[in-house]
Amino acid sequence: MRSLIKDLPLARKKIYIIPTRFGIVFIAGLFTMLLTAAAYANNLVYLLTFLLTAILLIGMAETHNNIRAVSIHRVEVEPAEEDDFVTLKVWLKNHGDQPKFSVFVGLQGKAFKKYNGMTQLISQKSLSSVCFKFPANKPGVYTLPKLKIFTIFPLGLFYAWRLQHQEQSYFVYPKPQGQQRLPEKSMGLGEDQGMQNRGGDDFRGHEKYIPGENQRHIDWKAYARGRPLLLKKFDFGDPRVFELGLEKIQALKTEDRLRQLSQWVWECHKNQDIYSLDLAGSSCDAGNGGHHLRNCLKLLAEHDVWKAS
Amino acid sequence: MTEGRVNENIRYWTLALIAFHFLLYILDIPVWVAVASFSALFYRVLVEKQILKLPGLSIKLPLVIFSVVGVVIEYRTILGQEPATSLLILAVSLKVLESVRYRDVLISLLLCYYLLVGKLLLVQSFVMTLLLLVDVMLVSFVILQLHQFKSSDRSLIDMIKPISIMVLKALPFLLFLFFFFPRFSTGFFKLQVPPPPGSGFSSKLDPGDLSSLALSDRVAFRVKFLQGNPPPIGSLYWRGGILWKNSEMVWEREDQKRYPNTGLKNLLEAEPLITEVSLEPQYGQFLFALDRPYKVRFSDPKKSSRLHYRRGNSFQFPVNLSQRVLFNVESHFATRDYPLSEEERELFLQVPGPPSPRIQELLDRWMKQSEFPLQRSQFITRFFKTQGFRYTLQPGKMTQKTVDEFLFTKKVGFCEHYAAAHASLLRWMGIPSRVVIGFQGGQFNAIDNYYVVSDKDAHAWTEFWDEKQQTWIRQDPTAGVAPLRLAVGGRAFFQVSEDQRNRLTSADDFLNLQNSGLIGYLSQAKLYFDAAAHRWNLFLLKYDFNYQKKLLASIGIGNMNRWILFLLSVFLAGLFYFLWKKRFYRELWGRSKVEKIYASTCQFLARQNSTRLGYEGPQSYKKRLLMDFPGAKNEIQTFFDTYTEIRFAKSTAKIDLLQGAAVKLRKQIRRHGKLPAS
Repeated sequence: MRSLIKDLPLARKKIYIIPTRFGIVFIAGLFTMLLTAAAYANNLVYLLTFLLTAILLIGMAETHNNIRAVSIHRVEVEPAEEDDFVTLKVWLKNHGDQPKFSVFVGLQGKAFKKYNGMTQLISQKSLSSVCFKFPANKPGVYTLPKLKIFTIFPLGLFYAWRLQHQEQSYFVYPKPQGQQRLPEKSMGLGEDQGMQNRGGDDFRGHEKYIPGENQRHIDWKAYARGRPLLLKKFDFGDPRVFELGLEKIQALKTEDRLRQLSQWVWECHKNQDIYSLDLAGSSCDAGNGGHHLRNCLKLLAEHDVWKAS
Repeated sequence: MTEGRVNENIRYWTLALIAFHFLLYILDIPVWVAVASFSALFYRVLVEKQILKLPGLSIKLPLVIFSVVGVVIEYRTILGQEPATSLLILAVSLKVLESVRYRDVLISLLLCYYLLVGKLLLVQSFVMTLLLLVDVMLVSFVILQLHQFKSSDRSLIDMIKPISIMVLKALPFLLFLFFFFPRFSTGFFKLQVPPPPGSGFSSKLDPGDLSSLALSDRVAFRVKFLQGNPPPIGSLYWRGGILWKNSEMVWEREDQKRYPNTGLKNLLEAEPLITEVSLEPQYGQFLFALDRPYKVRFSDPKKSSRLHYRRGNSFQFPVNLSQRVLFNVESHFATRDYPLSEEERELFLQVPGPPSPRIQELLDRWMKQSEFPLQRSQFITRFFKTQGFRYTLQPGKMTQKTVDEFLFTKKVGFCEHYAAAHASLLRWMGIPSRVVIGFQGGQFNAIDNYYVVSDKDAHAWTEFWDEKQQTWIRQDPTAGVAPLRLAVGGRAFFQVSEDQRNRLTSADDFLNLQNSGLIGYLSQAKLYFDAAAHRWNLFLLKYDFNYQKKLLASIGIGNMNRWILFLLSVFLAGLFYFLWKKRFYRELWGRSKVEKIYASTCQFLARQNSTRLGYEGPQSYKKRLLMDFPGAKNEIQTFFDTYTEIRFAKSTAKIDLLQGAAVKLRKQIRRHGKLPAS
């Protein structure tokens, strides 16, 4: 029988609904009103009580309807740094013929209760996006908890929700942290310019913005034209080459060494140096650019030490 | 989701709604409560304008204490309707001083509903019904706006539309619940509320009392004739009570005794007139009924039994009437009374002293002219008519309150002056008499065939005892000075100015004046409104358990068990409809049937030695069967393909096809049999 129910259209989008705290107070209020009407045999109080009861019932149906034909269309998770916030962008699709109002998206689980986002309106047969953040704890690779679509529209008397599983994982990178300087053995192709910032003003092109990068270089004009957040890249002259690795750092806990590496990776990226990463077991060949940076950061996040602690 | 401050618009709306609910009570609450509550609202507006800051706990806590103490000092208690109302209003005011967040706004709005309930307990009327509907719409509208969260700038119509649709959808539920929810109780509690403001009848009639009552335009009661033809307006006397203690121009009654209702004699002479009276709340305990009433009935027999019967065919409520009541009255025009006892004769002949010489002279002359009480009484009326007496709403004050002063000095008065003087003069002539107070006339509402009697119709007249006929006879001395007042009713009469009145000579003139031009249309519209309001008010009063039982009996739900059964079946029908609409049961039922057909077919095939193996799905089973039963190739193909289709389709519409395929398959396999294993 169980397998049978699974196929049913109703079961496929199981919606739960319970009264909110206000709803409970409201129902209790209706009950006292009913008692008052009976005690004083007052037909107008009966009328008021029944009108509010009817509105309560309609409100319940409307709350249920408000998420009935809404499903999650696509989810985008931006990777985050440790102790920062993970940004989640969810596209909701309204399959129904009626517009939906004030639909929230959150995550299942008590820890995420406070974090959610809302879209005011999803027109019929269309998409709407919801953005919200939730705290990222330790670095690592996480699977996204079940997403919760919920609403209390229109009267706040009932809380209806539906859970939807979305196969998606996200990375939490270790925080760039540490005082150590980049390893000295740099194989500069040109002259060694040390650590000072080499400014350049030859515009080289755009690169996708990664959260954590210096916002000073974001091309806001391009963003205003409707393009995603892009970084303006300038030519810094000839790049240097660094070989980064866990064994380059001594006398620290592994976690802090990884954070130090993260710091170096960012530094190299900002200076447009070429760098490679070696984490004893996994490694990343020399390279540069946004894609390379992300691969390196992922490597740092995937390290076993995060899983252990 | 519901944290944080709410939108500024909604905060203003909430404040406006609260102010609206305070206004409902503005006349009922002590002045200081009104001032405090509106100051709180005003303070809050200043906070919203960022001129002031919200008060802290150190200010709010003393305010709470002051409120409670204030109410206790005002009422000497905190129990009961009035102190509870004041406390509720103060509580909402205090809430106003702190509500910023979502939850506070909701609680404030919920409290508004309670303020409304309090008002509904006091006033049940058509206007209150409209107000209730509007109020629920407004409060729900604000609650809905609150949940739109960042409500963007939409047009007002767009904002009102959703809540209007919701209320429309709610109407069927409302009607069902309202008509069928059993009204088990006829009221455990009685409200202890004061009568409405304004004067009314009391057990003492001073000259000037009635004329001040007639200044008001309030409706006193509405009457519908259920049996018998309504008499002309001039003969519509509504009896309140009788006064017999005479001190010249002041009449009163003294005892508060209850008398047994002796009724009237010789009632069989004519059919009684039966009227249905809906009496508005009023100051005093008089019950007004068509003269002369002998039986009063409420739909609730308990209420009828609590009624007091008073001397002289009058009825009285045990307490001041604070809410509208509905009752039926049986009255008779032509009556005979029981003979006067000696004690009563003495009572109705009592005089404060001898008349003044001037009056004595008059009386001697009249007594010489006739020995009949009726004629003597008419002499007095004629005296009023011929000696330049004036009838007015502003009779001015009487200094001595003697008949002499009235007859020879003032010569100006309202009906109570004439009635009092008339009855006094009769007594001095040795005729037992009494003053009757009540109403005379009324405005006929032809739309729903009822009379509206208002304070303008307040009236007093006299009755004297006719020894020969052994009955009390009504004599209205006002007929001598203002016959038109009696013919057209007080409301129509006083609508025109005194100068104009003197020019009008017949009742038709008044009617023409009333029905002419814009005033005519307006009064016509007023009649329609009053008719609708009256209908609704009657319904609100009538719709109790007994009425409900009658209504249900008329649609075939006679007794309680059937009623419960009816409610239960409607509930279940609703539930099933809901589930049906969700296709839950339809699908589940259909699917289980599909599985049954499949299972029984598999069992049949098992009996043919081709048992389905545990791991085999329909398609792989089909492949094996096709080899086992080559004779039934088509049938097997159809059955399994149909099954697979239904099994993975959204609907079970093709269930009949499957059933047919199963039957054909069996038939074919039975005919051809299994291919022997090679």
